[in-house]
Amino acid sequence: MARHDLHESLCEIVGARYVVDSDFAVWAYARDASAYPARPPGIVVRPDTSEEISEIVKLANRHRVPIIPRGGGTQYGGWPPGDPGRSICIDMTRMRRVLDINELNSTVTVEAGITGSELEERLLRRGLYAHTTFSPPDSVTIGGALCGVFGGGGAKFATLAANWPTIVGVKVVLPNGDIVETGTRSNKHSKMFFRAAFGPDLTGLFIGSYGIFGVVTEVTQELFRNQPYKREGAVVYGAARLDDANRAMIEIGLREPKLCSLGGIFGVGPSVKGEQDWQLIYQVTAHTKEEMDTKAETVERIIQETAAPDAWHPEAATGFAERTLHFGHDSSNGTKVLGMPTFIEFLAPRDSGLVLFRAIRELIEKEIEGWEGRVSCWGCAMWLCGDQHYLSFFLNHNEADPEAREMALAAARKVNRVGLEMGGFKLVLNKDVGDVCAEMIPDPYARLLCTLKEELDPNNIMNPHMLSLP
Amino acid sequence: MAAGPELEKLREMAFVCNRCGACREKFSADMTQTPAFRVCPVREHDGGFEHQCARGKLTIAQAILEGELDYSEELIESIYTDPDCGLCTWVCDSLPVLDPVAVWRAMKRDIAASDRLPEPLRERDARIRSTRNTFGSKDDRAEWASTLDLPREGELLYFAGCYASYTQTEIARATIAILRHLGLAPAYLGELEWCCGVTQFDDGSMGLAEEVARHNISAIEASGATRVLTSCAECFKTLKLEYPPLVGNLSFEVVHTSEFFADLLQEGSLQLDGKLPETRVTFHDPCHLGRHGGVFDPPRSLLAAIPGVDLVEMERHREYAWCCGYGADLVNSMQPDLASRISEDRMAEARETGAEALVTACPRCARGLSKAGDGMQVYDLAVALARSLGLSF
Repeated sequence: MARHDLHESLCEIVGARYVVDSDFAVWAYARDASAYPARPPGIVVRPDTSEEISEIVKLANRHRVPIIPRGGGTQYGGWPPGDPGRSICIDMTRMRRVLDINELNSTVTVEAGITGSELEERLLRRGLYAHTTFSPPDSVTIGGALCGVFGGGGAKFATLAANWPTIVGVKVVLPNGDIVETGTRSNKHSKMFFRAAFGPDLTGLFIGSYGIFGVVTEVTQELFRNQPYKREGAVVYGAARLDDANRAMIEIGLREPKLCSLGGIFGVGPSVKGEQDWQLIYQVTAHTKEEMDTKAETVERIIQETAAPDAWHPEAATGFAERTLHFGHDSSNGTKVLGMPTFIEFLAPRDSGLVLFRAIRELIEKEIEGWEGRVSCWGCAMWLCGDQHYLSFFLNHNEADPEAREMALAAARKVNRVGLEMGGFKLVLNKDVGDVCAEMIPDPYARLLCTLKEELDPNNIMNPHMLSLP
Repeated sequence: MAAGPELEKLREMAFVCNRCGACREKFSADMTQTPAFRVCPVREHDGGFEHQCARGKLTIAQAILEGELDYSEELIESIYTDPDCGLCTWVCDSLPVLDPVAVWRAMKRDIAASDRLPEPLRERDARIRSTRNTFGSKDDRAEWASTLDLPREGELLYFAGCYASYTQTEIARATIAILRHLGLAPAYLGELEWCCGVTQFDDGSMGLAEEVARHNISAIEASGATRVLTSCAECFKTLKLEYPPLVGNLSFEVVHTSEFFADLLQEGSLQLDGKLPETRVTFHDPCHLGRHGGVFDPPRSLLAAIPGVDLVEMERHREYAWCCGYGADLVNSMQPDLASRISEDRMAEARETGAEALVTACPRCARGLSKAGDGMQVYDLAVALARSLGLSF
C-alpha cells in the first residue's frame, strides 16, 4: 500500500503507533456527525503534546499540506475538506489531561482533547462545575466545543448560554508552529487567571475559529461550585397558545439573577399531524433545598402572572422534562430509531425568536411535503439561551436511502439560508452549513477575516476553505 | 472484495449510526452511576483511532456498502482485532435498531465466506477440525475426569469446554466436586464433547460453527440431558445464544454454574460455611456471561455468602465491566501484546480496590487475567466455592 508522503516524518514526531494512513482508517475520519459528504484526510495523527503539534505544523508548512484539527467528531455541519486524500487530520483526543484545578482562583485548565463528560465527572467529584457542552458531551471535546460550536454550552445553558464567556484563556499552536498562551499568560510570570489582558481579546480569536488560526491545545475555563439540588417543572399550553408560552419563557429569562439552569418550549414537528400542545419545561438548580424551592416557586409565579398555562405539571410533561433536562447528557442515545438527524438550529434575539421559530417550522413543513416516511421532523424546541432564544429542529432520514439524504440536506440548506436572511444566527457551522453562512458575510468582514488568515497562515495550511476563506 | 451478502442483510442497521460517539467514551447520565469511561479496549490500548471503535467501524461498513472501500488485508486484520466484549452495543443503547457487534460479525462472515480469514484464525479452525479442541491438543479431552467415573447419560450434564478440559482442569474438577457435595450425579460427554465453537461463531466460519453445534447438540440430546451446566462463560453464551439461531430451539436448558449454584444457595440446598484464604475479593464479570448473557447477580450472591468474604466492586463492573482482552481469543490471536495490555488494565483496576483476590466465572478470563496478575490471586468461581467448602478436587 502506498504511504502518505509524510508518514515517516509524522511517525518520527508522535511515534508509529499514533499515525495511520490506511484507506479505511482515514475513512473513519471522513465525516462529522452529519449526513454531509465524506471527505477523507490523507493521514491521521494523535499527538500527545503541544510541542508535537508544533512540529507537525512546521512539517506541514514545509510541505504545504493542510491540517484539519479534530475533537470528538460530532459537529453537525459537514466535515472540512482540507485537501482530500492529502490533509493531515490531527485527532486531539489523546490530549485529555486535567492540568490544574484551582478552586481559589475558580479556574480549571485542561488539555483540549478531554471530553465534556470526563471533565464534568472529575469536577463533580469535588463539588465543582465547568460550563462545557450539552450534548453529546461524552464525545465533544473541550477544544472542539470551543473552536467548533462558537463556544458550546453546558448544563447551565439557560443561565450562562454558550460557554465562551467562561473561557479564561487558551494555549494555541499557531500556523507557523509558535506556541502561545492568551489572557494573563501574556505576562510570562503570571498564571492563567483572567482573560482580558494585554491588548485585544486574543482568546476570542480562537473561539469558533474552526482551527483556521491555530490548534488550541489547552483551555482554561471558569470554575463554579456545583449546585446539587435540581428540580424540573413543566406546564402545558394549548396548540394555539405558543405566544403565551413564549411570553412566559421570556419573562423567566429576563429575571436577574437567572432562575433556570435549563429550559425551553418543546413541541412536535410538522411530521406529527393534528394540533398538539406546547410544553414549557424548565430546571432550577441550587445550593440548598430552600433555595431550589424558592426558585421553583418564583418560576411558577412568573408563569402564572404572565400567561397562566392550561395545565400545571402534568405527569407526562414532567416526565419529559426530567428525561430531557435532568439527564440531558444522555440525549444522543435512544434516538437512532428516528433516523440520521440533520440539525437545523438558530440563535435568535428575544424580540424575534418566535417569528423565526414559526417561519422555520412552516418552511420545514413545506419542504418535506411529499417525503412522508422518508424525511421527517418530529420535534422542535425553543431553548432559553442566556438572553437569546436557541431554536432547534431535526430532520430525520434513513441514511441508507440516498435520495432521502439529499432531500434532507437540500431542505436544510434552504431553511438555513432563509433563517439567516431573517436575522437568525448559527452556532453550528463546519463546512457545509458554514458555506451557507458565508453567503451572508459583508465584504469588509470577509476581507478582515482573509487578512488575518493570510497574515497568520501565509501557506494556508490550517483548515482551509472554511468560513468563506480560500 | 465488495460488500458481501451478510453485510447487505444489515444494510439498514449499518446506516442507523448517527455518529454520536457514545461508543468511544461514555459517562453516566447523572454522574452517579457506574461510568464506563473509555469504551473500547482495543481503541484504548492500541493507537486510539476511530477505526478501532464502533462509530468508525460502522462508518467503514457504510463505505463498503456504498462501494467506497474494499476489504484490504489490513482492514480484515483490524476487523478481527475484536474482543467481542459488546460494551459498545451496551452503551449505544439502540437495540434492536442498531447492534454494532452484529454489523462486524456480518462483515466477518463475508470475509470468512470469501476464504480470507486471517492466518491465525485459519490455523485455529484447522485445529478444531482435526482435534475438536481449540488448542489442537491430541491428548484425551476427558483425562481430567478419568478418575471421577462420570456417567455418559443423565438429566444433568456438565459441559466442561476446552479450557477446563485441558489447561485449567481444576475448574472442571472443582465443579464436579461441588455437584457431588450437593448429592448430584452429573453426566459428562467425555471425548464426545467438542469445542463449543465460540471462535468460529465470532470469526464468521459458519460452516465449522454449524458442524460443531450440530455435533454437540446431538451428543447432548443422546445423553438424555434436560439441563446442561457449564462453568465457562463462552460455552454458556455459545450454547445458549449462538446455537438456537443457527440450528433451531434446543431440547435442553443451558445454565451457567453460577446461576445453578446461586439458585441452590437461595433455596438452602447449598450452604457455604467454610472460608477462603483471602477476605477482600473482587469479581470480574466475563463479557460473555454478563453483558451477553445477562448474568450478573448469581456469582456475586455466591461470593457474598462465603463467610468472611468482603466483596468489593471494581469501578467498571456489571454491564460496564472492562473486558479481560481474551474474549473469543480473537485479539489474542491477532495481537497478543494488545490482549496483554487490556488484561493488565483490568488487573490494575482490580488492585485499586484493595482486593487480595480476583474471582471470575470464565476459564479464559481467569487464564488471561492470571498472566497479568502480578502476584494477585485469580480464581475461577467454581474453584473459590470448592475451596471455601473444603472440598478436594
